[in-house]
Amino acid sequence: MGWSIRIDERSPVPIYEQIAEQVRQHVRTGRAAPGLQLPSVRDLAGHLAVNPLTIARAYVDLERGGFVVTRVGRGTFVAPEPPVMPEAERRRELERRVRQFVRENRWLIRSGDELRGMVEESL
Amino acid sequence: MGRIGRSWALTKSCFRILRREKYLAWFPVLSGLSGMLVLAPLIAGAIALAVHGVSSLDQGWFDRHRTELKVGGAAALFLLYFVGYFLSTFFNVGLISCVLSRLEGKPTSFGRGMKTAWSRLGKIAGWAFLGATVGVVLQAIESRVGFLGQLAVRFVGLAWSLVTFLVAPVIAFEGLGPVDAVKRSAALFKQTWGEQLAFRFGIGTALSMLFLLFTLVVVGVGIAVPALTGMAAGGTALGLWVIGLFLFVFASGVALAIVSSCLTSIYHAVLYSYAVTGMLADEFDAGLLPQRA
Repeated sequence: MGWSIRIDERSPVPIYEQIAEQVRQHVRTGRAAPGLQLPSVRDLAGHLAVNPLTIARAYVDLERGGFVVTRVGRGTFVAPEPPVMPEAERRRELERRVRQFVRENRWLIRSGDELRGMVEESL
Repeated sequence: MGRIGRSWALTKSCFRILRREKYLAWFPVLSGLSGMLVLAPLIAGAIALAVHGVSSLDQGWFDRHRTELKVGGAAALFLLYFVGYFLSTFFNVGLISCVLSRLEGKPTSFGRGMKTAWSRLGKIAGWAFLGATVGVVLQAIESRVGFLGQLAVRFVGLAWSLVTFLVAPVIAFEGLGPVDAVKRSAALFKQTWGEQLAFRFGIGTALSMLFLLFTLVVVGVGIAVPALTGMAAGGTALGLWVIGLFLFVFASGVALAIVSSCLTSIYHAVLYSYAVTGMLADEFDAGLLPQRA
């Protein structure tokens, strides 16, 4: 698996939602490409030390959202055409992340211009 | 492990789960009691009709209302199917959610199971409507066709019951609506058809045989004891013995029906769990795997 999933036990977000959300992010960012086989429930449960039914619950959630497809007897794969994030949702998510970044790094930021410049450069 | 072996392993884990979580037996008990409560007016009507006699009613009235009676009969049949499906699925969803929560390492109780079933009320009613419609349509077709047609309808009914075997766990665990739940159950059937058939025709038959054997032994004892002890024919002792024996067989039958119904529902849950994780319930129970959920 070329990407990782981390579980935050202190988070109020249920574990299955944390797993599903991280897989969704990997699919959206292209780290998990269409057709890629996801680890089996047993393997991921062992790897993350999470109950197998919790992993199954995350996979069911992902399948319902159209991010993965399950082929009987073969496993779970990233969907050939996973859903694209709606524009409004994309903007909300970006705003949320920018706010979070600014909040966490306020002590490092001297000015908006400096930050804007760095963002421009990074892009 | 082959399909039959796996089915046996799943069945053994059902017994283990029932031994540990005895409160699960309340679900089929309440399902049966509520079913009886709903059916009571129908039974009372049938008894009233039997006591007063159909012949006392005006034959002309029947002729004049033939169409209405047919429609009313079909509606009553549908209602019967609907209520039956609804009650059995409601309590089944409650029980299954308890078993799945337990396998997932979460706390479980009778109240939590009922709460889950209550939260799925609309979906359960939708499934009951779908199941009742299919049941009534199949019954209507069966009453209009010949022998081969009846066989075909029975085969379709069997296929329907197998394909929809996992509808209750799908509603309990995934919270899907009736049509999506049927589609999902059908997809899972491809993975678990052997285990389903092995349980239905293996364990189901074994339980029936067990009860038959038990009844035969009790009847044997029932005949042998009066003969050996010389109870007088028509005497009070013999009368009490027969009544006691009847009550014993009846109570045993009810107990076996509850256990059998419970095991079947638990089997739904462990089979579903196997279908979505590829792991047997014993592997969850053994404590070898983490219970973080």
